[in-house]
Amino acid sequence: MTQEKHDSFSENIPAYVLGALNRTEAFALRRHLETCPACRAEMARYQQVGDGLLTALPLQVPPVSAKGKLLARLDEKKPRSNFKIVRGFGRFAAAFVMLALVATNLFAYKQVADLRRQQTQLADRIEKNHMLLGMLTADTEIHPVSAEGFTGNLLLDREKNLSYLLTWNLPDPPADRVYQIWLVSPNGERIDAGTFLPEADWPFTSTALVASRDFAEFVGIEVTVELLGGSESPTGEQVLEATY
Amino acid sequence: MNDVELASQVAKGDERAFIALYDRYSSRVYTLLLHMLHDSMAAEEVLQETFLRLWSRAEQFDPGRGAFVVWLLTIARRTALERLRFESHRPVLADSDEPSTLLENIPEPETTSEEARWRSLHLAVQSLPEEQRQVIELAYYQGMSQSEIAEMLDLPLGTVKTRIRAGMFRLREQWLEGENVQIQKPL
Repeated sequence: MTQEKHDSFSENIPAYVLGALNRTEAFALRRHLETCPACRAEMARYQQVGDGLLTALPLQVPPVSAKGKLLARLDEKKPRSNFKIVRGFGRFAAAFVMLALVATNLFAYKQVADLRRQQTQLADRIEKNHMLLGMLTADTEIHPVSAEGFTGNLLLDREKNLSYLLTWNLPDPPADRVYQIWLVSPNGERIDAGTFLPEADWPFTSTALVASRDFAEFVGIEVTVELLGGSESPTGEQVLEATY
Repeated sequence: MNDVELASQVAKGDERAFIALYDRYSSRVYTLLLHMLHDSMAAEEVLQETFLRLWSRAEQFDPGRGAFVVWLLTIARRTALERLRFESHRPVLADSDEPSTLLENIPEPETTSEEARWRSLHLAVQSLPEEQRQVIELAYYQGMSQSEIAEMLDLPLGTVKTRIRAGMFRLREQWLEGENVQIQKPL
């Protein structure tokens, strides 16, 4: 990556800490931070300033009544048990009820955990789609990929050093395999740019390429099938390629 | 008990620990909210919402990622920004309080080291040139993007970016290098 581009990311860090970057700028900076220790250190220093701004105000005391109102709402939120245990059932009935409650709570906990996971996945997908829409409306290069049995495009924004691989109807790889993207340099060197799996239940898959160097230093990409976790260099079947 | 121990107790449903944290930080949270919302009733409502979130999410606090007070204030700030966006409040320009008035409200430095630190942070912000303080206030406390600030103040976007960078750099120099402040240190 050129020094000029690095500086443009570094200059955005103070605004990022303040929450003042737009979605595209913030996304690009987060991608850059993944591969730039210097900017991560800079971010940590500015984050301390952001944390400080939370407290850098002359102290004001809330109304005394606020505490009572809060505690009343706290009581409202407490679970209230309305059922009465009939004395004749004794300990056995009580234990049965307790077990049923524990089972119910465990089931509810699992449902909440599933919902949270789905929410996170949805948020990721929305962010990714926003990013893609942003790239499609901007001055982004679109290169078709060469593949058998499915189609796709490679989006490349040289200015922001962002790249996405879009594929349609990409089949699932074998159970213990993933797809791995390789950036191809002019001298034939292959550099890992991340692994991915097709989106479940969706015909369309979008994957952000990850690189510690400028995408402009490469001339294309390849995708191969590799063992879970990825490989250090291509070893499996090549399923697509694109040049730019 | 320190903050980490109290938060751990709150996660187990300990109401006394919850009250202790409220007593310790409600003023700090309320101060931030009043500054952001400019309305005492709204600030009180969001104060309650913030502490209710603490009550239901205390187990999510990770002491390894920073001080409890920063975590709590971050929840408060996000809740206030949600409210500002929901109500489509147009951001209000930062208050231009007289320095003398502000100093009266700030705890004396000898009270506690924490209060002294907060006082020095506040003075650092107040010492910024008005044009830099204004854009930082609008971004951080009103949730505005650089583009929105530029539009609101009728300034070129580049000017807003430059002012934010200059102001934040100055704060960083004063807080971190000049005073050797350690914000992340847990209580």
